[in-house]
Amino acid sequence: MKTTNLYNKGHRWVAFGRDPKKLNGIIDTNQYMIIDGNRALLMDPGGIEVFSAMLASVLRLCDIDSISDIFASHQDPDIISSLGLWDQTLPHARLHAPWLWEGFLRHFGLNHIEYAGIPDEGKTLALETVELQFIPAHYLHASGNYHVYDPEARILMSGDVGAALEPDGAPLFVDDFDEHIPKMELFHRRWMPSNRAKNDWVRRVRDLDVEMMAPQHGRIFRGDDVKRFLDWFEALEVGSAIA
Amino acid sequence: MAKADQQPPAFVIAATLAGHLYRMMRTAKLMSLSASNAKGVAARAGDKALGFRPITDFIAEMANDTILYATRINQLALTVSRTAVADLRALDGARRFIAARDLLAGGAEAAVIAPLIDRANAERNAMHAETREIMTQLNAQLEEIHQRVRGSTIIVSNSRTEASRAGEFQKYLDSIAGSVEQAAGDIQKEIVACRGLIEQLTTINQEIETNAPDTNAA
Repeated sequence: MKTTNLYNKGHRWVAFGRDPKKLNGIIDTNQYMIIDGNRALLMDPGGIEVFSAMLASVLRLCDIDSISDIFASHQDPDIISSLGLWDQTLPHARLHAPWLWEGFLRHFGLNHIEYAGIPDEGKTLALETVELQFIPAHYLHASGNYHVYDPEARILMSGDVGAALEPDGAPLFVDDFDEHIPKMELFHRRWMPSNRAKNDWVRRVRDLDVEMMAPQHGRIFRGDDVKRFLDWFEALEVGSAIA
Repeated sequence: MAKADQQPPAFVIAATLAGHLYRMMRTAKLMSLSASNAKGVAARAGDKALGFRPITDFIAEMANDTILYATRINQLALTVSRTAVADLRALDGARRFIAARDLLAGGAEAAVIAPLIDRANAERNAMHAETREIMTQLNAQLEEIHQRVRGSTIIVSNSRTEASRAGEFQKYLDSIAGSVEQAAGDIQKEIVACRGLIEQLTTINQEIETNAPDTNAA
């Protein structure tokens, strides 16, 4: 599994993905981690099938005991079906996930980790030096859904928003936005159910200072591509399964 | 390939066992109903069914004991099924921890994973010990049912004898004796099936214990 530094000034953002040993037929996922002194937050740590590669990658960067928190943007298997294994690995950690999904997520196996439900309006999480914001992103695409915003690093971990479907081994960063659009279009039209929710999210994210937008699939947007994405997404009609 | 890989997993067998026990309980409840009917008929028959009354008590006792033990075994079987699922998850965890350690190729970080593997294995060992204990209880409780139902042949024989003296009530009492005979036969069949399943569970548990993943292999 490839490990890429996104930010390293005081605290550190790391992206994991593009695992060359990933099983065929499994959608590629990006996992993220923030390391802040002796604390670390794992974000959308992925499914059961990427667990071993993730654990090995994570341990190359920090002590296991420093992983104090896990974040799950929503309940999908590619996001968090590894929960039962992390529960064995990090029995003292806390899981920050939508309150709405608690009874569902516990089906993945949660005997040790504390479930810290995120209320509808979101909440903050203070690590050692940085305070992160769990930003509501309900109905994008799950009915209880959040993104993680780091105002200091100016990174927004945007879950499925900004995701792209493309062959394995694609670059980690968007290098030509217009060329990237076809890789995102179907995903957003089909997976995102609500124009109202989408536009509300776009309005709120425009108020944030975002240098990097990091989705859970596909490529990361940097600089002006973040604004280009917001403009494109705002104009897009979603919920395409309803004729 | 190990035998455990060819047969259904332990949690499936344990759940199947619970299903047999449920049927056994249902049959025992029918037997208990027969005992109640028999009491009613015997009461109406008065002196003509004097010898039948104590037999109805035996039938009721046999039915109630069967229900009691089958309920207990059912709980134990469900515990075995749940433990077997937990064991499978812990085994999956151990295997994935080993895979992560191997990816780290003996580096310093690999040592961090060793306690996780040890913990998963310790949890599994505790579960295996618990399952062994439950197996012993399962066998003992099943034997209790067997002992009680074994006496049903004599009860049915006595019932028929007493029924033949009950005049116009004979056909009712014969019918009750027939129901008890049928129920006892059904319970015996379930006991045989349960014993086979318990034997399979014991074998699987032994094989799992002897075929634990090699935690040292890199």
